[in-house]
Amino acid sequence: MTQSYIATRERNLWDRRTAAQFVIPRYYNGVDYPSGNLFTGTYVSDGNTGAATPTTAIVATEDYDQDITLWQGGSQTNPGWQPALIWPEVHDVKIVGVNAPMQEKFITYYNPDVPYDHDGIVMKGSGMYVDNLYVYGIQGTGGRFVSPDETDDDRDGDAMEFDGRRSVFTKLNGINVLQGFDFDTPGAAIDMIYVAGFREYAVRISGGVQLTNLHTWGGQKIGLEVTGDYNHCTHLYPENSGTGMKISGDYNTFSKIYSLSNWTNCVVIEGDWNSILDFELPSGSSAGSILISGVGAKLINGAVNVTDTPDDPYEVPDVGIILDEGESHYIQGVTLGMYQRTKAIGMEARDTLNSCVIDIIVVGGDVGLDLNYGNINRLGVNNRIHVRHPSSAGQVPATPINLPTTSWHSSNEIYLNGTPQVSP
Amino acid sequence: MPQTFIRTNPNPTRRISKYVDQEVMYRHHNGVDRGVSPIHGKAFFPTENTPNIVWDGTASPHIIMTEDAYKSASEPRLDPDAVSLWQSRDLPPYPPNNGGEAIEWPWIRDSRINGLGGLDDDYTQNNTPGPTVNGPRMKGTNCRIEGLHVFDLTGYSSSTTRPSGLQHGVAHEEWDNGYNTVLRASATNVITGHRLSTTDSVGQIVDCNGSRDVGVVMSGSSVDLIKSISRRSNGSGIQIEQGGCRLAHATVDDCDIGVNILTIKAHVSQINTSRCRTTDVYTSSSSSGVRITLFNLQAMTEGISVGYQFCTFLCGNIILDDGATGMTLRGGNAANGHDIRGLTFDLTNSPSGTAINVIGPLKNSVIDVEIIGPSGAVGIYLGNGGTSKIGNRNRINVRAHGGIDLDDAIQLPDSWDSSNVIVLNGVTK
Repeated sequence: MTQSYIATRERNLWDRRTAAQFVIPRYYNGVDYPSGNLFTGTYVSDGNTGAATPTTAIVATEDYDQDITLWQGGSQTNPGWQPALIWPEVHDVKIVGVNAPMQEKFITYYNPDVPYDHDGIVMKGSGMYVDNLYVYGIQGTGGRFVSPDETDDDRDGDAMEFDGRRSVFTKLNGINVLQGFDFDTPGAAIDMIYVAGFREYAVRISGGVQLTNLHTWGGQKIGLEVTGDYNHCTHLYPENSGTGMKISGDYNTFSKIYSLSNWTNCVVIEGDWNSILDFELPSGSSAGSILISGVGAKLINGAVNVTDTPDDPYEVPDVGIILDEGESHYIQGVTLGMYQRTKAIGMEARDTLNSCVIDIIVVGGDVGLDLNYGNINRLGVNNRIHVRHPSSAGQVPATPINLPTTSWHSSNEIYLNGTPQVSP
Repeated sequence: MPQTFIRTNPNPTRRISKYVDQEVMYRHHNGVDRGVSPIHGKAFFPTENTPNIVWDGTASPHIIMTEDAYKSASEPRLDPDAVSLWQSRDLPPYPPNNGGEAIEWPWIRDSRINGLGGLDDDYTQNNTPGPTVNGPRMKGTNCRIEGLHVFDLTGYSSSTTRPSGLQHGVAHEEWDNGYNTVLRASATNVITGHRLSTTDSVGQIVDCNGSRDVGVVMSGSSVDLIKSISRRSNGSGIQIEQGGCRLAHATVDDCDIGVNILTIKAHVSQINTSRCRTTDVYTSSSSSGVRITLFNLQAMTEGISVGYQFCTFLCGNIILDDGATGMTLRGGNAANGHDIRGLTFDLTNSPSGTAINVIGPLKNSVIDVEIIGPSGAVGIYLGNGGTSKIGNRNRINVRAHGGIDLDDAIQLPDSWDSSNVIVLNGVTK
């Protein structure tokens, strides 16, 4: 049998290019917009990453560390800023950290003594497009992407040809980094992002981002960190980290989350008015699989199964959901599974509840819903609470609702398996 | 230490290929064989040579056009002049098709259009400067737009359709594929943005920044659009025109109407809107079965206007400007059979606003909401004294706080049907 070989490309795409720093220029031909791009290959710094610009990164867009305008026509409020950098593109690129071969084991980066040294790629501009990027062994941030800090109102005149396009990031991979990818890019679309082996965070987004298909694992601290507002995220799989997701911004929406084996929390909600629809968290934690310290959290259609760890009589009980803040939550259609975990707690109200709706199913465990945490009455006003549990052996919590021992306000509705609970 | 500039650009997208006025994508890439020759990395500046643009027999010219795109949209077996959907023709019992051969695989990638159309930057523009010139008009199977930016065009930015035909009227052959996709298509300052006109097609990252009429149009049925930003429209930011469409991950602001739903059974999830002058989300008087989940609306005038029955609104926040209305359930059957749960109406800065205005009568509906507002604000308007907006079989549960007067948290008529359950802050009315 004779095989016919066909060369896939005329040149070796993965040639290693080595320089002090690779800079993507503002103008593709030195004169005209749009900016240049970075084409296929492996980019390695010779170790002098700070030589070209004050920015210590292997790849940087021109004037990354300068104030640049958002618009092609310049800025009326910031006339002294450098011209815009528009439509820089990166395709099919691999970036390897300085001395990366010496840091093959990502566990190296768990060491807090490992200093921050250099980034992989840093880009500042508008309409950025990054597709199929792989960064490896970065003793800093794998990729840092920034939009110029201006608004529509700052534009000097009408929109021009290259204005108004948002940034798009698809198929980004980061392996063995101190920090993965940092998106300070309002309005960006991000899809298919994978980070494994990190110390601080895998992915961090600020505001207004549309994020789909994320998988992070093997990190010391946070898989997905949401610091800004009005992000939409779906199909998320942050696992095997300190915290799967941490949400400190407001008015973000999330759907289709699967997160497990995080040793502190699966989801931390510090911001206000965040919503999560459809989630599966098969992972227990004494710190709460979900820890809520912001107001107005909405959790709809989900399950927390605190059954992944043995029922160790010496351990601190696992808790499905901890409400460190008690205002205006809407928790509907959530199952808290504690089958054969006699010490587990489904939900703990550690703050006074006001204007909350809690409609949950608790299965097994010690306490289904604790409304008397610390022997303090946690019922404020205007709460509607419905708790149900199966009747099968092993699926009945020892205490389905731990009610306050003191009277509660008449505006509270509390039902257990359809039976109203009466204030003492 | 020298910098290493990466200037070389193998992607012809960057080349300034001026004076490309119009291009026809012929069905045979080499004049004989199937497969349309793709357009890759070209820049079009049509109006520099406007006289060279040929008219295609329809109302206005197109900068890019698939061959025979203007021909009849009827099924080939009904119109022998139409373009066929499939490589082979219809099988018996249908009559043989004598129409045009199928147009298969027209692709546009990494290209841009500078219309130089004279549209100014004011989104309130309401006239049509210059002649109407449209972007690509593609009719075929496996149409693909991937990476297209349209600027300053006095027409629509693109339109992808496929010929009519029986889905399974013939056996599939080598090039057959009824799937059209639009990926990374953007437009700035246009009359209308990109039109997703193909039934069953998919759009991803389809945006518009400045339109006179509509930013993004979902004009095919069962279209799936994920990730869209539409800003600055004098009309609608995103318009859903056919049934069974799904829209997810959308940000719309600075439009007259944010998301304009003109059809039935549209599913919308994970959207933000702000600064929409008339309504953030509008459903028409025939839009039944609309489902909207996970949303944050900053209502300047009206958050959601509901025109017809059996809709679901789940898990959202509506922040009202002063005097605004969060949600209006319009008359007739517009207040029938709704499921409205997990919504928070924040009237903190709207002492003269209304969370839900029921034109009514409200029937067969569930409303389970939180209302935060100061004294003077109205929660749910269900009538005033003798004027009742309540029909029957409703279940209403409101949690109200923030200083709102409890009599205003739910404004009730003097009496209502006993089949209704109305609870305010745990107290049954």
